[in-house]
Amino acid sequence: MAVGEAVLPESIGAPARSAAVAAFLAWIGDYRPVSEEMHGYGDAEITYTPADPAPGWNAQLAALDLLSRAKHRTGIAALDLARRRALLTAQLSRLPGNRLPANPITAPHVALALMAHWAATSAAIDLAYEARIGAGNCRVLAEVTRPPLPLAPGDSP
Amino acid sequence: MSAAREIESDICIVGSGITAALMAEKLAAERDVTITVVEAGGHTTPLRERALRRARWQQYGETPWPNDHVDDQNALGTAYGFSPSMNVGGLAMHWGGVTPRFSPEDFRLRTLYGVGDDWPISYEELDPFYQEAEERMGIAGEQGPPEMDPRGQPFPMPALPLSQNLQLLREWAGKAGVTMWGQPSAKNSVPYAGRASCQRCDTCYPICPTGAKYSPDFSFDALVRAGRVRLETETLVRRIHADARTGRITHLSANSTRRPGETVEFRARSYVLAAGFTWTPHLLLLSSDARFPDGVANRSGLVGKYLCGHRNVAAQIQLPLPLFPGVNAQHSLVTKQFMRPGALARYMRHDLRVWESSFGQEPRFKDASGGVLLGDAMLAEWRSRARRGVARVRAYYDVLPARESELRLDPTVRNAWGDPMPRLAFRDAPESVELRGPTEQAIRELFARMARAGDGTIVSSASAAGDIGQEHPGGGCRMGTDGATSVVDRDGRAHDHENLFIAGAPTMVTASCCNGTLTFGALGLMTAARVGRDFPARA
Repeated sequence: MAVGEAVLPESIGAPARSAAVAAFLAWIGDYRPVSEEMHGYGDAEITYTPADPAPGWNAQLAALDLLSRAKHRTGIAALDLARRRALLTAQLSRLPGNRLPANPITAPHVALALMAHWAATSAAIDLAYEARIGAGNCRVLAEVTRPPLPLAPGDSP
Repeated sequence: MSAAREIESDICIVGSGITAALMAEKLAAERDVTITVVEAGGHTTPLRERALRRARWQQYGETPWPNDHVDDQNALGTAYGFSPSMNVGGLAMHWGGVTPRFSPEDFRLRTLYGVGDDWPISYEELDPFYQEAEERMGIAGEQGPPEMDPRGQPFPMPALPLSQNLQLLREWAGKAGVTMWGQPSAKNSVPYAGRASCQRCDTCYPICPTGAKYSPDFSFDALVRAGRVRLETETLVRRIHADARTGRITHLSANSTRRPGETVEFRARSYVLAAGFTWTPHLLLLSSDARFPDGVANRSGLVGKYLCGHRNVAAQIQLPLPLFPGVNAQHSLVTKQFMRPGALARYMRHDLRVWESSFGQEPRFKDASGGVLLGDAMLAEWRSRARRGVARVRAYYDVLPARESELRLDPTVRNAWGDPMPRLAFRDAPESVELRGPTEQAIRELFARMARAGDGTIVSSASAAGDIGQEHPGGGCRMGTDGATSVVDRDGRAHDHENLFIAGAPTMVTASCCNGTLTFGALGLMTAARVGRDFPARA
């Protein structure tokens, strides 16, 4: 949760951030390594999902906590938001590229994985486009002819 | 090894993809026949599991169609456009459900433009079979302008409604002089054939969770339930045996893929190969013997030759339009304006499709100067890019195949039974090599004109790589009137074997410049009509 509070948008509110972290934990808890991946229309090769990243991400969290204690004499959960973000910014700035990974499983850092997992949700996409698109959800066909409704005040993931 | 199990029927169909499904449906409905369908793979993911499989795909990238392949049965070489799908439903289980027809010009390229080869059938002759394929699958379509989009009868279902995004994009295309309409699709716009209407779940490809998109397993489930078809799964047909004197096919020999030592023989009056453009010529070539040293149906030497497909040029165009990606993301606009160009100084034909796009709108953790974005800063930066409207445009263009665009047996790679695997190499005919550059340039100029018409900017442009194969491939057993220059006749009957039929994609002379699935099915139905004539009508 200490990382979630630092990397997820504060404007969505604390309950939504908590829910996003809980969804992330449930998601990675149900991950199955070496499952057959989708092979596309043009792909002749069968590929499999990668190793479970959770142990590596847990190690990163433990290291973050140790770093916090080394620098600030307290665990990361007790740091204020600005210091937490400073620690994470230093780590993320060293990563190549600028995009959140399309598949969070491939994220090289737990913070990126959490951000990417949240950003892939329909609710996050609605926030980005400021409209109730409902991407990826099954919806009534006839409604496509109208533009999506704008977000209402208080809409949050 | 135990004695072979024998299965006898009137008609034996090899393969259970979309062409086989439509043919089996037609033959079972119209003829008093027993039909066996042989599939190398197993059953596909049943409809009741598809919502769950879709969720796993969305969350983890897991395939919704696990184990839809036979491990050592794969193609080599430039295999793009080929997927090793072996299960009930075939490669159509990976299908997006897009169903354009070819245009009348496709069947007369030599006559009209002096390039490629004419087909032995016309568009008008195929039209009723297109219609039948559309009705059997259930196609929702919008009639385009009749001069661009000729058809004998209306679509069986009303068109999928155009989203606000597509309405805006159609208006924009019109400003550039391009007439567009909704792409026909095998997706229910209203309840049809016992299946619900589309709920725009946005995952038609790779999986429709509701059954609103047609897939061939629906046909087979109904046929098997009704006792009209015997479906033998996990059974790989490895040889076709022909009578040395008459040339008639006597039986097929196969092995169980689950119990490789178990052999099965299929005996029938008529045999149909509906195993797609890779495995059909592969099986014919594998079936060589002393009497047919170059393989079955290969007196012309053209089995495995003239593999055809097409390539594309694509772009992303930023436009000052309020577009919202994800409203019905897999539905698109289409035009045949450039497939029916009339007289040409230099041959060029292509289709054109337009979608809403989220290109350049992906969430990021760094800003343009490399600063890390967290929390609201990340969301604000994402919003700033999401406000840009972007259209994805893509044009498939005609590629004319060389004779040496071919599938051959590669003795260096073999399956569990020692059979050599197919190696594919797509090659353009010399005239097509010359046309490639000017064609791609003309399409890029069209995109630039469209961008200008909408005060837009091309933000990305790409051409399909030419050395990895071709899209929507077919050929390998092309049809024709002359047994010296083709493998099958206009009905798909092998010139060399009176009771052997080849159906769908392999029989194509050229692959047009649009998705081929509907045409595979229509050709299969035309073949089924001919196969059926040898059997009594169903009471």
